[in-house]
Amino acid sequence: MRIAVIGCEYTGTTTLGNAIYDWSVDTLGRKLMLHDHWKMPHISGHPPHETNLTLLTEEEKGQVQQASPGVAELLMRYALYYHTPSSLTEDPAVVLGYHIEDLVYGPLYYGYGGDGEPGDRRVVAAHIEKRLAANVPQSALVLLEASPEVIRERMRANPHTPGVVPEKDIEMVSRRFREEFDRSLIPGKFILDTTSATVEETMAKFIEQIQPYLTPQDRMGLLARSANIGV
Amino acid sequence: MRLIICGIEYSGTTTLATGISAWAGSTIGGEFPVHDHWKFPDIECYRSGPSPSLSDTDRQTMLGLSSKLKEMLQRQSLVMHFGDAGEFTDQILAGFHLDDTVYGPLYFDYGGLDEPQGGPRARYARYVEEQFLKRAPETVFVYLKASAKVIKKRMHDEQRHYGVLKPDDIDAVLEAFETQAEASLFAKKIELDTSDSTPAETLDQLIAQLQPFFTDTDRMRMLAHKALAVGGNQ
Repeated sequence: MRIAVIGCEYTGTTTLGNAIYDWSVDTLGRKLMLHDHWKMPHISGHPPHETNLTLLTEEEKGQVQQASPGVAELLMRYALYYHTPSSLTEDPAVVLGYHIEDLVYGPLYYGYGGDGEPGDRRVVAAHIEKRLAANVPQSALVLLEASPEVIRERMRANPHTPGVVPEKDIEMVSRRFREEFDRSLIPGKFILDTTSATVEETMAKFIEQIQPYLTPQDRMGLLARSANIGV
Repeated sequence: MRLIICGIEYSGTTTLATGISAWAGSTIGGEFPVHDHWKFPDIECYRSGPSPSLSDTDRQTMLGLSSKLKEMLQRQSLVMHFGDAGEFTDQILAGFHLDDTVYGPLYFDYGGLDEPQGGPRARYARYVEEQFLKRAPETVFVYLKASAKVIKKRMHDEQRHYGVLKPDDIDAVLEAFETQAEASLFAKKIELDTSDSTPAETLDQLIAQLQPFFTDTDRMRMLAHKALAVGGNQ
């Protein structure tokens, strides 16, 4: 199982990613890697499932935030390719944001990756998806959406430090994610609306819709777990 | 054709990589881009589109990054250059994993025995080589060396603003490259000493020693290129 979960900030990608992690461990018996490090300056480490040694210190986050667009572009592009298998793999992973988030936020907020610029994110995204098709054909892409009003409420109630999307851009960024979702060539795609759904309700819909994209290994784990084999 | 050309700074890796790229283009046909960006701060790679160098400000930013961020950039850059399995690609990598293995712990404070990401770089280098052997077993590893005296003279004659090597470290760095070259998993290895050779002579030596390692595809392309050139099509 390899899933990319995308969506405007505050639609619940991190929350869903953590819930998918727990579900995968409990139901499939598979620990997956949860990659949630595509919003600068949070570009290293895998909390809460990995050692803190790889998390950036406050000083390092400052270095990332102060990096020029040229350096920031490299930091993010190398990470994108690093996290895209270049040979066939069954290793399970959930990648939150990933190439589409970088494609949306890079030109808008980080000053890199525009059309025709070095590291043009449309070119990079196409290459990433080509690699996924070749090496992880059962990839799925999940778009989380929520109404602008709800995103605004969440933003005010629990502001991220630092946040990426300013309030005034919520509608535009939500639209951009939908455009790139529609444009994506990843064949397994579905949308979940978190406007009024609880985490449990969103997970229930996710589990229902992810079924066609589970790998044989996922299914073996599911079967073994459901039959209590080995318990 | 895939080549990985490694060796201490000033042994001639860049010169040789550029030379063999031009030779391959005129003999095999096509383009043979050289990836020569594993010495901080010059680590930028642009696979497509405009290919500017980083500005001086960017370079200073690079040098000011923490060792954790430098490690991350280099590791991810190495993996980015594995290439796609089964995809036909010509590749000339200069410096590559051994620049990272030798210079990381020595000058950039990462990749030592307690490195949390992938373990010590000397071990990670073997992982990188395993991945290459899986994806591209035709890869040829070229190890360049020169005497300490010659390296010192070249350093003196051609000082580099962003050079990595320090004069006092020449012996230690030579030894580190030698150790890594010996430990390398590549079966197709070529070793060249550039102490007393001109760049043209070194290039000739490389071409001569590459002969048994050219793949059938390389040879077919050479034949086709020659035939088309004779026929006036190129």
